[in-house]
Amino acid sequence: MVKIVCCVKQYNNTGEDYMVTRKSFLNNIKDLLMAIPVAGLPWLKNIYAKDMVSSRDLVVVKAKTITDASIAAMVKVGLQEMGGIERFVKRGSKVIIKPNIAFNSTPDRAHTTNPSLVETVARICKNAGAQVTIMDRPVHNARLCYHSSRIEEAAKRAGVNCEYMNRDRFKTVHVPQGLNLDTVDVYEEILEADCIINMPIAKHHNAAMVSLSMKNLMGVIGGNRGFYHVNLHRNIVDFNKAVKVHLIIMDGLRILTKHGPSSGGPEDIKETKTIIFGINPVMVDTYTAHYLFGIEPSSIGYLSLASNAGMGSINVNTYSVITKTV
Amino acid sequence: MKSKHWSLFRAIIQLAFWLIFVGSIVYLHDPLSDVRYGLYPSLSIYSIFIGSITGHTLKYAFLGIAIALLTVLFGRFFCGWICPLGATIDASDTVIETKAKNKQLKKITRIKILILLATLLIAFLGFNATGYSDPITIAYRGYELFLYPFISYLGSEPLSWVLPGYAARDYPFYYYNWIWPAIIFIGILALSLFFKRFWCRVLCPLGAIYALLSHFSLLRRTVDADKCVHCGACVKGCRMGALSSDGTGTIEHECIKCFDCLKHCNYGAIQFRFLPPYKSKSIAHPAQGITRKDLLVVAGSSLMIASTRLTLFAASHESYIIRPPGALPESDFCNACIRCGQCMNVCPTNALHPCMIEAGFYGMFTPRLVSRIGYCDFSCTRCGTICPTGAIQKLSLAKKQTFVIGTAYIIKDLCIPWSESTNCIVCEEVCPVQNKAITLDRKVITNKKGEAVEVLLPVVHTELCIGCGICENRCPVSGGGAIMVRKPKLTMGDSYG
Repeated sequence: MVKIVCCVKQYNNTGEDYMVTRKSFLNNIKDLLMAIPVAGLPWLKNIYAKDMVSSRDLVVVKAKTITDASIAAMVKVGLQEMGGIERFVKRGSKVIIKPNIAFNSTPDRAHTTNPSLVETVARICKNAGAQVTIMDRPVHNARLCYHSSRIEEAAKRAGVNCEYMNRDRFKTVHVPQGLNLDTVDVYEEILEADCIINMPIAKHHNAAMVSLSMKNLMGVIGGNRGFYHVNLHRNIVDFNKAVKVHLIIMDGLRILTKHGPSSGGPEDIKETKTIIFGINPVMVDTYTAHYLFGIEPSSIGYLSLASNAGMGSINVNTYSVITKTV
Repeated sequence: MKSKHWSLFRAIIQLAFWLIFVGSIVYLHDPLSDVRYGLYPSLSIYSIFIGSITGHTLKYAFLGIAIALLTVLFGRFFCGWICPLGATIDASDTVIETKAKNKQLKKITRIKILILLATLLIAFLGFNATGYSDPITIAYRGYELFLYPFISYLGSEPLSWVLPGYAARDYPFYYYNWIWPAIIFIGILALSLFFKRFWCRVLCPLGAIYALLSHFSLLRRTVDADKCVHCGACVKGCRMGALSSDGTGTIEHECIKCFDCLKHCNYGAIQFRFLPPYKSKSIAHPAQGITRKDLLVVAGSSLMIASTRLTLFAASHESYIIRPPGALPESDFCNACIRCGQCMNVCPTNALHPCMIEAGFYGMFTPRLVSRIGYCDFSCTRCGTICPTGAIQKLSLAKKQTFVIGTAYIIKDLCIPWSESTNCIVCEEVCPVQNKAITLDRKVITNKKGEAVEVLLPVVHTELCIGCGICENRCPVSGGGAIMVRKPKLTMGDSYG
């Protein structure tokens, strides 16, 4: 539709050259044919229609200490409040857990998702009868990142797959009503999966201000990452339009408050001992930014862009939040 | 064991050593492998010998010395049993049609002795020519820098049946300047067009050392004069042309104990026995045919080659040649490096690449960090750990993380925030230094349309930057990038004395 409108506009603007020649007529037909999929896709793949509206709940679980046992308890309580894992993971379905394994650094530096948290969630999904795979597209060498973040080890303990992304297996998909991008390359298995669990770690990020669940989706996008950092905020929104996430488990146990996302010392790390569960990425990120980092959500570019695009409210007061302490 | 089976036994051992060689390359390329044992370069007594002259020691040198001692016992067995280049040449014989199969060579084989002499002389003049002539390093470069990237790229799927996840690890990889190691490697194989094992018989300086040693070796080929019918089968089959035309005499320093003659002899006339050298005389000696003229040529050419270290041909100290962390100062580095290329193979990010002449003729095949292809990982010390000569010093992780190999400089005319007033923070995001060597200045500037916009401008803090090059590697500006790592300014004045 957009294209046709453009064509008409062009003819109007040119004034005297209003004559429709054979060539321009054929061109018009071609444009019309091409416009059908472009205009039709938002209907076909209106991926936000259901979840964005129906579920407006966040579950915040806090703990007094961070141990493997307390993390397991937190996840258990959180998932119960979310309606149980069965709500997301069906028996025999394909589940992909997408933690943040972007950097070759150890878990104590808080650049990557807590391995024990990943292990717990993976185990729960596996016990629910799902076929679980953990993957990410790291910034550094994948093999090193998987190893030093201990997530490979955690996957092995939980008995689930931990796979590297194969750079030949990205598939170009259309971004419905993209702000900056028309198409993005998304990893094939992400598109095929029945359930995607996004498990970001909350940390400081100089360009995005905070790197949360929406930013974490960059790890399933192919192509040159550097290019996406120009107009980063718009691109982050577009990634979230292209990829549908079913469950978000935000690692807010130890957060990096400065020098993120890939450096910083022990003095920059704050123990917030929180895990946030949610379905809507905008809400989860808004809440995390507001309560863990103390940042006004509307000052974060991608959150206000997303809320303008109708992906979720960024008014924290309107949320129905359940807070539990373990 | 029947005498006929010795040849097969040798072939199996040779294959086993070749598999260890190739397997170690594949294994060490894995970023999680244990890099303490890069053994193969230490098998060469030639490297060890030259190193002892130019002043560096090889790790695990006892291996090479042990092989040299065994050579006194068994003769030049290394060439036929262990040498990876020899194995490759033998394997290539099935494809390469040799013109003169069993050519007897009288004088040309002395060239390898002359090359050995020349490289020793060059070593005394302070030029380490190991990397240019040692067969193990040549094989290493051929396999690591040329063959393995191809095989890994094209055959990653079959390889991933054996090594899980191989296809997706972080491949493909390749090496800058790979064509030159490839040309040398293929060239050496192609020399077999003239006669079998051309390289080993005529050129190899390591072979020359073993030839000299095996002239006095104890394991000797003897022919039973009663049984021998002078059929010439062994002469035809000898890949080294080490037999006299009637088959009874042996050039001991050319015999690599491949035992092919045992296989070819139908009369059981040939035996290998331990004998004192005076009882079974070799029909030639290694230095045969060396004339005064040859020695003059050796002296002259080695002077010329060694003089390439002088200003005219020397390393130009180009400021963009970044050495790996822990590398010795440039001149010492080129001297200690034997160009085995293992550092490039173990680098998990494909950051190290061989130099051609950009570091001078003297710095050929030395490792260089090409940031636009790979970056130096902040928590990796693999290249220094594997380096067999200490040209790249082994650093602790804490020391490596503060070791300055270069400094990043922003080219503001290319940089997106500086030139186009659009935010792009990639360099700051990836900077691994603890307090960020690149920070962003928040400034309101007027863009080209005349609007006042708030832009985050990247700024490098040179006192914090260690030059790991990840900013240059990840810069989205196409071509060379808008940030580049160069040598720190203070050391750039080397060439001005």
